[in-house]
Amino acid sequence: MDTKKYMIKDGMLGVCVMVFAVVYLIITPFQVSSVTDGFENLTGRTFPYVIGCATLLLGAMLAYRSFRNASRMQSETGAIEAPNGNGRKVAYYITAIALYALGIEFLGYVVATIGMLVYAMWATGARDKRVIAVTVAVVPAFIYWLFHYVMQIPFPDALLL
Amino acid sequence: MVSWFMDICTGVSNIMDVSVFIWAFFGVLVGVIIGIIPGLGPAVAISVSIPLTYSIGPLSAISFMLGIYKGGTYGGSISAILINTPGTPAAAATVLDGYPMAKQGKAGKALGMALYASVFGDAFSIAILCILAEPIARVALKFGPAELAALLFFALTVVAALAGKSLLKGLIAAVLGLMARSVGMDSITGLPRYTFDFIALDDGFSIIPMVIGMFAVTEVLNQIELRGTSSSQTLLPSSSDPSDRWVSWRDLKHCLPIFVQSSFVGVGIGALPGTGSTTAAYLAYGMAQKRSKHPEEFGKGSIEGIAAAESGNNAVCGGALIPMLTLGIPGDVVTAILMSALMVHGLHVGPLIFDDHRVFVFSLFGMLLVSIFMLYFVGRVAIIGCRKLADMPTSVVMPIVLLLCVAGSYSANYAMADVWMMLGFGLFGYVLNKIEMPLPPFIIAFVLGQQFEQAVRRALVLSRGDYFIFFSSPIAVGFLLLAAFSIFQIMRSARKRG
Repeated sequence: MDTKKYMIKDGMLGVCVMVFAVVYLIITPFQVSSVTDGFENLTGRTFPYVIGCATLLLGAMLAYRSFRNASRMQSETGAIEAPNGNGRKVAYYITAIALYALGIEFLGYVVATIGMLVYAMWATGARDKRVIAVTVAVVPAFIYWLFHYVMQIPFPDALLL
Repeated sequence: MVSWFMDICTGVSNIMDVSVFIWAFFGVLVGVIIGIIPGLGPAVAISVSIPLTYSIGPLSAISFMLGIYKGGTYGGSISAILINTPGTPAAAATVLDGYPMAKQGKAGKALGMALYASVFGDAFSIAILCILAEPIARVALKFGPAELAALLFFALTVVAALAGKSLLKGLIAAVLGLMARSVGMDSITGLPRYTFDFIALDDGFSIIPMVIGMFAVTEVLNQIELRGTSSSQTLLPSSSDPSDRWVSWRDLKHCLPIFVQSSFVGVGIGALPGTGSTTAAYLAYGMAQKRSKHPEEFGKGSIEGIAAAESGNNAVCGGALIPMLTLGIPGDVVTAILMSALMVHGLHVGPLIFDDHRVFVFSLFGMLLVSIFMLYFVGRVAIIGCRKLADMPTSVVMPIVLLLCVAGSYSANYAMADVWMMLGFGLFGYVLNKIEMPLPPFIIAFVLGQQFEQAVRRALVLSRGDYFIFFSSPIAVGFLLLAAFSIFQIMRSARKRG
């Protein structure tokens, strides 16, 4: 939607992209060696510098275009769109996935997966205990069998158990 | 010509041995199942199956593994369409229109088109393999780093075609993809770049966790945000229009030119070592969008998008076998594993294969031709089974998808670091959605970026720093002209949009 508010948001995005590009260009000499490919005009830094400059240019273009268009628009009136309150649930879910990854390393795949599955089903609205119980009993074991025994992909050993 | 035809007939008759037939069918079945599960892919399944094939004959063994290759390439489209999770990286282009179609209640139509496109691409590439393997191999030999760099530059201009509403945002997403690709070991100097001394980043970001994170995890987070805790909702809506349940003859006729164009792209890309089905899928998709009468529908549920992506990526299967069989050069990771499997069974690929193992080669061609029908049959059955997923509640399906994503990401390199990458890219994809920045340019730039840089730098090393090498070959000049024309068209349409 090309409203003034969205134009300003895009403008801020352009500024963020420019800042990111500047940081990228600054850290490049510290993170990339200047060893050449045999010719002075080509090193491991050549492409990063080209990409960084392109990002800076594109960010500047986005910021300029968005702020210019926003200055030509009138402010929109009306009720501000209220957030639906599920942003916090997203944050909790992301935290749960991170804890699940840690759980695989420390508690083992099956234990961590059972815990994650119970939380994930509850978080997405499952309330029937029988469905949760059957799913939790079958799915982690099946996935473990499929990956560990059939595909011979060993999961990490539990560090605590 | 007559002797070639007789050789093909002999090949087809050889595979009518029941055990070869059964192993080929079993391979396609296993491949489709493996392809559906995110993160596994045909490469893992084939490498695991090599020891299992020691006790069976070479034709049965190779038929089994090729069946996995074909089935796995197709199977990725099923999860891409139903749960926005590409089963293989090549199916990432199918997600762009497949999942939107599924959300419109047209999952059946999308799955049907994916199946027909896959079968067509597969059949087309096998026909080309049988007839033109040697001439195509000779052309592929002419592709040096300069020609490859020009081709990849043209492919990168496709990025702009996938930018959607805002060309600038699409280009920003693309350069971010190139930045992500520059993390890891520099392939020319062997020195680390942007690793910040983390060993896990020495190999850079892996494509499988990235694709799984940016599609599947992002979608899970979007579902959590949009739906909250409504447990009664099914994964996908159903449509009351019967024509949405399966693809019609009219749709197939309409998409036939796209099948042919995309299959040519797939065979061409497959014949070039080091490119692969992901590149073919996106390039075919971008070219189909440019030629379409309704390019604005791409990315919102266009059946042409699915037709292009799937026929392009499945046509790579036959194309990749061309350099493998005729030159002993693997076209992609899967054919590299197949080469080792052939060596285990006493068969050496290369220019003399048609002389030393003629019967085997034509038996293989015969098996590949027959397996086209196996792919269609197994695909129909798989669709019926997987279609039930759409009727299940999201509270059951989404958590299971998440578990498969974590296991699939881990299986890429047997490292928990890839699970963290998956989570990181999932968050990144969620943020990109919020700021309305398109995902496809990021992914395609990521896929092509490293190959492009490598090709440019290798070409310049060969020419001792002289940039004229990119203009000294007619093949390279041809692709550069195509790229220039593509850029001109993109600028013109961007100006029209205002």
